[in-house]
Amino acid sequence: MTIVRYPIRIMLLVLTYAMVFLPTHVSPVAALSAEEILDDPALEARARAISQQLRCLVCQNQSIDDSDAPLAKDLRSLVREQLQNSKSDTEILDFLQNQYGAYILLEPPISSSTWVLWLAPVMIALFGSGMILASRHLKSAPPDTVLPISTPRTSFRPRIVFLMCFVVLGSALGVHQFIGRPDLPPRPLGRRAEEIKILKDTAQAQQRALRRSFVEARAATRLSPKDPAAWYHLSRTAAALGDSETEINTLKQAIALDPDALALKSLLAEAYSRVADEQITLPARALIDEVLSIDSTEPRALFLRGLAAFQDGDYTGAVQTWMQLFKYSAPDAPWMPMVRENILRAAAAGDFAPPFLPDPAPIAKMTDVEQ
Amino acid sequence: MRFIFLLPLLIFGLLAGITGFALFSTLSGTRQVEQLPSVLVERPAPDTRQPNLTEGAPEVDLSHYRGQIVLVNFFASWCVPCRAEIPMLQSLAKDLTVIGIAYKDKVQDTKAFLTRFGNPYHVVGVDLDGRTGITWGVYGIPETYLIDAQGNVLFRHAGVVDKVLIENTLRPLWETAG
Repeated sequence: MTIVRYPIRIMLLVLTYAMVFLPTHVSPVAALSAEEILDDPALEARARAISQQLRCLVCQNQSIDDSDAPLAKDLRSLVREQLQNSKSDTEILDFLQNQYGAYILLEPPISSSTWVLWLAPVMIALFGSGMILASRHLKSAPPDTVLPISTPRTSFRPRIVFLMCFVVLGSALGVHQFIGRPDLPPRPLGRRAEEIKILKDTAQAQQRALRRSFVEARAATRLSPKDPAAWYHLSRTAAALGDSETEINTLKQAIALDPDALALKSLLAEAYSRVADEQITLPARALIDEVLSIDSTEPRALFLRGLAAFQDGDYTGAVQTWMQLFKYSAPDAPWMPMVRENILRAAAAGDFAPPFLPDPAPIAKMTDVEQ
Repeated sequence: MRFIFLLPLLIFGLLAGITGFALFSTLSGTRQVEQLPSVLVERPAPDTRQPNLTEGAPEVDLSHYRGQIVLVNFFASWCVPCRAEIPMLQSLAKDLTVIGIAYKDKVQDTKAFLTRFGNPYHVVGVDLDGRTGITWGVYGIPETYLIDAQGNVLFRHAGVVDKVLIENTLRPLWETAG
């Protein structure tokens, strides 16, 4: 009878029981590999038990027993090693807590900063039972003596549900607007197959042409190995192919033949940075300093010095360096838009107002040498 | 009691407020979630004696550097962000003794890394199996520890050292300590 009358209550009851009594931490197969397991089954069992109490600090919501992270593996083998040195469980846990803090324990000990965490479930349960009792009381009260007729009691209130939906949807939309990805392409990839094929074909044709010019340039260096221009040309074709190692080697050859060519050194600095994920490395910085100490207006070196400052987080320095480049360059120099953009970016990153920049001039085509 | 029906809405609002505050302070960067706290701060740095990266050179023993302010930097050739902070460590080397610990890295890889990206370190110790890392509480490199003249840890930073960190945090710390 009651089951038929109160299906929702029964369901809620079952759910509550499930939440209380089902283990919340159902451990999958441990990440343990065969060679880690100890020969002594009793020690191994203790090792597993300890590992399950320790947080993997890389994944942070897994125990080291579950985690495949290298640090978790190191910690597991440390636990086993300590057990073999006949350390007690508490000694091992204390040792690790001493290195990493209480955070390494998946169950935090009760302390001044964690008692809220531990007491919260009890408080919520008390509050909930209080609410239930209160509503019982309201219901059992004789309706027209205590409460005015209009007082809402247990009836379904569509207006509140409507309001709640509105609030939830509204805030969800707000969050999506803030952290969502409005920049993703609006069209799915599948519908652009044709477009992609054309792009691919052109890219392949370009690649073939680049490879041809690389082979020709290499032949030229074999014909005249003492000509820095030939080496320089080969380095450019290697760069166009994306072969940075060859680019660096050929630039070094060119510099060895023509030690005074500052532009070559700037190019080499740029190549060093390209193989280092665009980080301006120390060898690159040394080259930049060398070039600028001879010619303080060499544009590529100036640009790279600004970039180095930017990467160091020295945004004022970056803007100052790039402003110099801005001043020394012709207003229609091909790198001007990039410099302008970088100055604005550095000012934004450093949170200060960008300096006054005159309006961009139409861009002159980059000559081969500048390329 | 008339407005008791508003109570669920109120509770919801409160929860939404708390989580919203946490979310937005994380997004805006005022709340740090990516750094785990270090328990080593204000405690003596762990005893550290590591083989020297240069074969034949004497062991790297941290206790030999008592009396000077030392920056201990855990790095590896396989760690991409470690490349980015090398110029910064180089600039710090003017004011401090910067000691590198090559964490779980092959010796020849570390050497190739330092040739390619530059070597900002006064000396480099080798921590092949990562055990020294564990005694320092390292959980993800790059990690950097500032140690005062008495051998106590002043500060730990997990992540790339940049100019802002140096000027706003590290420099004031070592200037008051030294």
